[in-house]
Amino acid sequence: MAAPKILSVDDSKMIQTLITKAFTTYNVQLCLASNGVEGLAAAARERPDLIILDVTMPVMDGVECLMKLKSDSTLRDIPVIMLTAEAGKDNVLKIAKMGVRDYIVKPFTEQALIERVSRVVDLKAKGSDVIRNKTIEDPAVVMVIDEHATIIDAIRKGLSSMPWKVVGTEDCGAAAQMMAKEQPDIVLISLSFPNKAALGLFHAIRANVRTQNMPVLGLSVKTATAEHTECKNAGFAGVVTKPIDLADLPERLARAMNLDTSSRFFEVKDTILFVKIPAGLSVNSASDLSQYIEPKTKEMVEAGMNQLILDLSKVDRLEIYLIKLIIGLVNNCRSLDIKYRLVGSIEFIGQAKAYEEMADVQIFPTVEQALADFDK
Amino acid sequence: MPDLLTIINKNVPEVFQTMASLTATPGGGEVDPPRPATLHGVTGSVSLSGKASGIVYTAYSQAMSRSLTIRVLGCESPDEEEISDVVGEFTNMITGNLKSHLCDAGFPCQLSIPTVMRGVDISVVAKSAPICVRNTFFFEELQEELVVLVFAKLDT
Repeated sequence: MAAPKILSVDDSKMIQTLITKAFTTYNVQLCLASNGVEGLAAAARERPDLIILDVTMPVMDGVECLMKLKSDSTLRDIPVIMLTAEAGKDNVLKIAKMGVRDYIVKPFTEQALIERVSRVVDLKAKGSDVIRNKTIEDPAVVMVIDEHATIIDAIRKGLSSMPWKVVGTEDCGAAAQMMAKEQPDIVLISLSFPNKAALGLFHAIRANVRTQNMPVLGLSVKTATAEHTECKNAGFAGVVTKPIDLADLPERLARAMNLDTSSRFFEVKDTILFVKIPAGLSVNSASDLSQYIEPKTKEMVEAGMNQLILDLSKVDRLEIYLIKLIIGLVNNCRSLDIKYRLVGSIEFIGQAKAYEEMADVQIFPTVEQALADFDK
Repeated sequence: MPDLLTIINKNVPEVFQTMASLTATPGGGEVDPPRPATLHGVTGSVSLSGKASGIVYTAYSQAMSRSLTIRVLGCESPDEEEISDVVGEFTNMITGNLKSHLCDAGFPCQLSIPTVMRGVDISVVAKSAPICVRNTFFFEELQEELVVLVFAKLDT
């Protein structure tokens, strides 16, 4: 989607500088005009998605410019936010009657400007569209807000093997300030703070264009189902129940952050693609992995490779969802003419024999044997 | 009757805090100071016309107007035009806020476009304005002062 085009009409270089600075970190096309006449010409030429229009200007003021915009059938639908130093009731009423979308009273903060503008156009922070390319090996900031320091410490310990920084606070009120200093990639917040503080903070996060897409997970005891429903309805990415399953936590967070986790499963060695199934692979992780199979196998074929090892040697129990995953991979290899070999423990091989779906799939007990079979 | 000194004592610090993150501390202020008043340095002015009429002056030293411009525009060596623009815009905001109070109190009025002048001793007087208030605002961070002078006539 193209970046929204915003036309700022103001005679003051100071205001234009502040507006330009405010939008520096957003994907917008900003056009500037210094009075009403220039503003009308720019509006007709650029067809912006939004006009920020100052009231007091030389040559043609904002009020006259707005009247001309509204009387032009090709420009009248462009939303206008008026910028005025006059906040009196009569002035506000007069502005409202002229058909403006909103108004901003000077002095204004950068945040107020961004907030008002984001109500009219879809503002996206620069770089927010590439978040899908972030991988599980990239650094990330995880913020934990919980009234119990022990929970924060436990999460920090549980994520110690990840390249993620965990920042924590027991004070819900301090969290917003911490976020302003260092924007987290994900937030975990206890739902037990009094006065529904977690919901309040969540709404503040969503109202801020910088953090509006940041995933937020609730922290709560399993039995507090009403809390879970309330926060899911509000738009939380999910609820992590206490006691926290720390083994599952990295995966949950990676999924919530939409990280590319394929490096955990796929590795190329000597022009052979290895698909490694870790011990205790959960249903959700198997689902994540299955989504990577098609693009990864296509990618290997395009790169000139045609051999694949599915390494199941760490799997001690063959579950139905694993069978589906294996069959899916095998079918994919067959359709792309990829030579594949499966590796599993003797015990695993024994379990596989009990399933009809695995009947015609050969499994080698070691990687070396599987590799050797490629040369036959 | 609106208390103009109280209004400027509140709105001048607000404008500087919001736009420049500067703390402005108002002095005691003067109601009906001696006229003509004398201002120095870079002075912005905006006129009011209507049921409330008059003029608002904001007077900065050369150094303060420069420091403020550097702070707001983020440039290293602002030219006179840039300094005038910043001084004019701050005067506009201060006067716009004053106008809002006057309009809400039943004195609708219009604002002029800001003008900026420079001089060592600028003598100003508004013979038809019976109300005159003046205050000095201290900026500790810059170790500078700003003088705000308001002449007004309110038609009841």
